[in-house]
Amino acid sequence: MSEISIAEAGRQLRAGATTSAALTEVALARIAEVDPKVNAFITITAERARADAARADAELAAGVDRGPLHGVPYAIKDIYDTAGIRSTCHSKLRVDNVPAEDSVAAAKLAASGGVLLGKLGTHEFALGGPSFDLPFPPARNPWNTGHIPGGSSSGSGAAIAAGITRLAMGSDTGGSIRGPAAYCGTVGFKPTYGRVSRRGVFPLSTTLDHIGPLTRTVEDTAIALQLLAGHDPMDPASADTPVGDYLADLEKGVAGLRIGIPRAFFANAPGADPEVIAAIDRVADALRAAGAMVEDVTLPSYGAFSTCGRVIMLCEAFAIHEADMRARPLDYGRLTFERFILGATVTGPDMIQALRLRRELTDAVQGVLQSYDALITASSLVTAPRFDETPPAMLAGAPMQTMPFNVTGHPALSVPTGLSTAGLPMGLQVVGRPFDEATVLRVGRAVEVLSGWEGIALPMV
Amino acid sequence: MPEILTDAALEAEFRTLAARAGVTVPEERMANILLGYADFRAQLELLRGIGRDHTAEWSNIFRLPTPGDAA
Repeated sequence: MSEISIAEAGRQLRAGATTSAALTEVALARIAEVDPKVNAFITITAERARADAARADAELAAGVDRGPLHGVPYAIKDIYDTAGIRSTCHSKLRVDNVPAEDSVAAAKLAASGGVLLGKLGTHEFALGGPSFDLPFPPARNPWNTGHIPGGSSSGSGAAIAAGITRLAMGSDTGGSIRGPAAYCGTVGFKPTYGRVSRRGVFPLSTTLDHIGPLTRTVEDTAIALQLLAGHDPMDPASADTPVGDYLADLEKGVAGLRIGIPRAFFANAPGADPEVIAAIDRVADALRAAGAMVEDVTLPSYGAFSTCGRVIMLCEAFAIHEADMRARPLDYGRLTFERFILGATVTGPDMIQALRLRRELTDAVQGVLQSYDALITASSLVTAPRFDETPPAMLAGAPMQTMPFNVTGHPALSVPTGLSTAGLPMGLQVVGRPFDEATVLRVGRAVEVLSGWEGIALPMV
Repeated sequence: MPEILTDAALEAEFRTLAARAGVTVPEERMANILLGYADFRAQLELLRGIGRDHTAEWSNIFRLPTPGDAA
């Protein structure tokens, strides 16, 4: 299944060349084989998966076709509510939480005829990790299990890279989809703020939270986004904006497109891995050769975005966790507590200045995107660190380059650019105009082709 | 210029803010927290140093430009 795209699985299902039950058994067997090594799953819903698959096969036999995910296995990060299935946020505080209702995204995936394999590991409450003091072990990177898979959608990245499933849902408040995508060699998409309903997904920071898919390919992501996008009047952040056709232009290439690169963001940043930067430069050259106009552009300093995003995130997160931080501090993992408590040190004026700064940063990015169809920049300055290389505290100089587009809300897609000499994935981000996910996916598809990533096999776990 | 605090002053400030928030900080977690707080406080100083007054644009409402905005 892992090397068969969602679209190809759909073709085979409709041609009678395979069944959803067969696809599901392959996925469950792969979980049994590799999950003890990568810890992608918190809960495996084998019984539910087999029931979903049987229903999908029966419906197809009866001529009922729910669309491109019909009969295809997927998995969901464990901060999404799933009716009747525990949804723990990877935390002792919610280890027995069994929601009565699905989150909107979980309901949409179920209604599309997909097969739920289970719930995926995360950093605790989408922030604290990787940690060894939580009820479940941290996910590991399938390319090298001594390395982190990135977070917080750590199980989602690991499940895709381990060849368990083609679609894993994640969430992204400062890079929690794009980071694991970059470290695990998957595609990861944070759509525009408001594009996909977050209702029923446990919040980390309500004005920075986005949800979206991690997948093996850009086409898989386009299919998933088509199912997930749309207005939800019950999510106050949801935008009532028309949903595009995310597959129509996917193969159009980049000829004639204008693409900006804010090289100052990443090229000379402290700690930047020359291999990661060189891979981005190679892709930029390939995009030029394919007919795009690619130019350096200037954005505000990375530090301004990082400061703005971190202040807002920690302040909003503490507001959500304030009561439990007072009443049950020791029930949080060490890293989680140490990060959330910083939100208590933000003053009212600090938060107001951060919100003012956010507006200015958003306008600055939008100003650049008036002249460019998309931007490309690093997802991370480095490849996945080893577990023993992760810093003891959450520091501003972290290698992720993803926070700016949580601050501004622009759509941002992480796409692999190749493997390092150490055999670890590298990636870049494609950023686009608000609600223009179609162009982001089109550029991302070109990067996928031009980088040669399509020819790279999944790791042997 | 950003305010530079001694380690003792930084710890005292953090303990005051945590107490104001009503959170009991386990002592065994304090060293790492202070490491993170020193780093975070430097970012807060950057924010405080921007120096906006009443002439600065007032906005605390998150708003994304939409496709209908002026191109």
